[in-house]
Amino acid sequence: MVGVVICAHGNLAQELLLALKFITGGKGIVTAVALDHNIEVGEARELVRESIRSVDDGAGVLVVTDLYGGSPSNICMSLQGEMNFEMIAGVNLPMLIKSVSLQDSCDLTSMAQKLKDYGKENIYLASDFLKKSSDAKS
Amino acid sequence: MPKAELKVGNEFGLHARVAFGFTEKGKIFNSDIFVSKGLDKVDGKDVMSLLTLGADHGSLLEIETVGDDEVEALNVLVDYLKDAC
Repeated sequence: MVGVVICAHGNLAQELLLALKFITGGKGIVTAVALDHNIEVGEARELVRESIRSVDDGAGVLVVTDLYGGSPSNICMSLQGEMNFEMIAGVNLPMLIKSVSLQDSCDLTSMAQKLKDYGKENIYLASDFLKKSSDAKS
Repeated sequence: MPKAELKVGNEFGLHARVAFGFTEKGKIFNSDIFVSKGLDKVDGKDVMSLLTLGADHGSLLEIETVGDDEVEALNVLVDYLKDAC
């Protein structure tokens, strides 16, 4: 099963994990790692390594970060040569919910691509729905 | 292609937790699962698709299953929604 690590600024990773667990009833092999801006780089890299190891059962790990080019993403990317994981920068809750559904049926590479697309596809404008509803009534 | 209709009784409607639970129940079946609200018909094995139905309290949903285990799938899903929704 592909494990998932959420890595983000401040408390975002932990809060996303809490929201995810609330929705999924705790299902899924997902963990969160918070990288505070005061943390030293070596320590940050070790925290990420530990998180990846904690959810890796041999099928690989998907790391999802909040912002490409931000410290959490940069630190994760610095580990890519030494550990088996893929990284998506730009996590959202639809992506995380879907990851729980896919992690026991997909390999790492295809799961990463599917979730990247899924995260993008599931951003909506409320006014589009309201307009659609209004058009349907008229 | 058996179908069933169900009214959403939950005051929060078909919300994320219920939608996720529905997809978890459905994914073990081979059959395709469709959920409709009015003219909108979505893939019942996908959480976000279900949420885009905007099925609030009082909405009428139709569940349709298509495949070799369609009858069992429909029964399981209807039971789940009756309990959760």
